Amino acid sequence: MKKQKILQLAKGFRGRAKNCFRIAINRVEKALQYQYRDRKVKKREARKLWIQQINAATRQHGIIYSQFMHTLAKDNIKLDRKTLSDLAINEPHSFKALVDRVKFMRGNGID
Amino acid sequence: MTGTKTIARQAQGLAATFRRSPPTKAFQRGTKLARVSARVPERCVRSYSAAQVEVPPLEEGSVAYEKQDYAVVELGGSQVIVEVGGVYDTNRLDAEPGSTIKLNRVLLVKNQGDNDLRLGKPYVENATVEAEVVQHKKAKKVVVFKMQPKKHTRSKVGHRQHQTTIKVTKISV
Repeated sequence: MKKQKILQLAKGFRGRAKNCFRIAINRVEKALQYQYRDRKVKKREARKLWIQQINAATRQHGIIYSQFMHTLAKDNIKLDRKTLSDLAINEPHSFKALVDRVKFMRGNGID
Repeated sequence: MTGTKTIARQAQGLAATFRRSPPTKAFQRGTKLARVSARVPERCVRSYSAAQVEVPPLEEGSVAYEKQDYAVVELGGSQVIVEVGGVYDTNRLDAEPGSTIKLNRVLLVKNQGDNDLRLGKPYVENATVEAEVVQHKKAKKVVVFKMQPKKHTRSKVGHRQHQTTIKVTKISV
């Protein structure tokens, strides 16, 4: 009963680890530990990706990520990086409007 | 924009799980009796004001996006981009299936017809999003497994997050 459950979780593993219980149990335990760790790492990796995407999009409009985020924070606009990267990808005109707003606020000496 | 396609390809991986979700299957589950309550965390400063934003017009010869109006809403501790008719999963809400919910913390509203973008500082004044609660459900089971090698300790716990599916019916400013 328990063996069947472990072998079910071991589908797709390499070599004997998918067929033989005594080898599979070790790899399955490792896989479950990696899942626990990576559920937390997934959030970090996602944020890194969002920041890179926002940086690329703002640099296309002539401003860099650090200045962009600093001005947004000072201006009390609380859009998070997930939303900003989604807008930059799917709604480029709205994102350009945001960048123009940031440039306007920087031009007026908001810092 | 030349870089947009590369960015979009990168987005297929991780970011795909965090974008607007496709409609989910609707099946009935038992519901608990609940009261609709407006829970506002005390630390949340509810200030509403607007920022002057101008959306640049589409250039000559560019692809005209025939998209719906959308809004960015604070829901379940995170921000969600919602459209009318879209179906979204959030943390469990205190509302019966079939009832209507009003979402007050709206950060951004875009009207595609008028090309009108409203940015909130932090929230847009008088903007609300109305949604209908479709069903309550539990997410797929996640196994939380912890062990120390060679130390004779291990623990295995299963977890299913309680969720609510809502369907957005109206975005109003």
